[in-house]
Amino acid sequence: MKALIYKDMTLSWRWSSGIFLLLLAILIGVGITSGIDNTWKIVPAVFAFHTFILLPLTMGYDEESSFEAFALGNVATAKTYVTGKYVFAWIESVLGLITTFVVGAFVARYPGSELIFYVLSGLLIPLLISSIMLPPIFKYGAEKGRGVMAILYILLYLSIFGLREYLPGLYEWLSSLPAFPWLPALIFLGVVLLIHALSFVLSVKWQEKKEF
Amino acid sequence: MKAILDIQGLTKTYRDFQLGPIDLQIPTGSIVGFIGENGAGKSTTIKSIIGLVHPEEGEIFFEGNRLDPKSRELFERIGVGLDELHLPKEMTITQIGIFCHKFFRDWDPSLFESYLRRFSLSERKKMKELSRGMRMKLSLTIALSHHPRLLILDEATSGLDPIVREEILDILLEFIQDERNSVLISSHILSDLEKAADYIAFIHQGKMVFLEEKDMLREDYALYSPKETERESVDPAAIVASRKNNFGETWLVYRNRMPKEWRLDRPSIEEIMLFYLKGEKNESLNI
Repeated sequence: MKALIYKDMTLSWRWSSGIFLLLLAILIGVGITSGIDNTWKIVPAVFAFHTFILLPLTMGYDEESSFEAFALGNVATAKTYVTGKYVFAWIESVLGLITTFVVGAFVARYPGSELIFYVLSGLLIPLLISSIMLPPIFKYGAEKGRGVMAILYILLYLSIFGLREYLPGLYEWLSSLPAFPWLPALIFLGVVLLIHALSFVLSVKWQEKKEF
Repeated sequence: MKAILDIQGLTKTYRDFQLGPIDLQIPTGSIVGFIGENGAGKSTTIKSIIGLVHPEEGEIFFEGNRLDPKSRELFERIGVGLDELHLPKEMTITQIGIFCHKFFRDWDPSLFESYLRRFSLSERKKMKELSRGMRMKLSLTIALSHHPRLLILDEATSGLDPIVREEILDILLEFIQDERNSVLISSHILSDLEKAADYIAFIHQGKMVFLEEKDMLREDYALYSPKETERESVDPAAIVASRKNNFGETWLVYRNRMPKEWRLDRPSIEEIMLFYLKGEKNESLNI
């Protein structure tokens, strides 16, 4: 698996660096216009967007060269290959968590009780994005998978948009829970990890069925 | 004959093609040439061995251990070279070396570098800058550099010039100098197999026709162009297949069933294969 992660990092570092610099420039621009208090809250979105671009990119490189035929015809299992992509997503997520915490706690000096949601977002939003993105790409390939993924995101957005009037009520309910914000944070963590685990199992199952 | 690879009852069904059941044993310390016409099932058989295709039935044993696609441990000792090297085109050979070092447990960087020097492959070149011949040399380099016991090559010499093919054949012959090593190579270039192979495995329309020692094959079979008056004096069971051409008829025959005093020609592997594929077969032999 180290080999697979090395390959993905080697192939994507130029794009990765370029995207990060662009996003950093956007952050700085937002920071200048809106101040640090609002800017640091979109750090999780930076890592989420980075994951959104990078994972299909690495899958596209693999598809272009039929790399899976090399890997799975040699010593890699389908599970190892899939794990390599999910680990890539985890690396993004952990970086997102650390960055959000550092910026939120030490730069914006946000209070701890509300900081927890943003720090968790830094971890969980990239995980959620990869959970939705990867199974269609494993099933249908990088090209068609992107199309399926776009449809899923549109459905997700429409669902959230349709439920927006309930969001203030949801926040009130969450605030009334005991051990707020820790219990809602743990629930959020649990739900995303469950979705992530199901996504992984599905991806492995579909990858194992593939023939080359 | 001790087999390094033992394929038993391998079956794979597609909509318009059925492979198998295939039984094939690769003897230890030998080069087995795997031949057959396009679409005969060579690549499907090889892909079934290495796990790129999932057969419905059959078992494959490597050094007596069952190969399981979900556990790739045994594949550390199998080197694979397909008809194309499926690595990202933006990777340099140096990066591929680092990748392989992390990928294969028994990767030998010094062996990798020695093959690169032997094949005059520059480490700074990217995959997309390599010609087909260079990619095949790199493919063989990778396959050899993790100390495999068995090399499986699927059309690895196709499309290469004679000089490159000669280099590759030399490497294969060196590889089996260690009598524990073996090679299974599928190829349409039968002249290469005539030079290098110890055994020939012939597959036709998804079925194994024979696996025989190459030299014995050329001893067992013969070619003969009969005169009209000679036809009656030949045992019908001696005739494997016949082909007509502008000059008459030629038979592929079993040498030991023909009259000893008759002057028979030694066939090439290609001629044997063509008779099986294109000749009018002796139905009573159930070939």
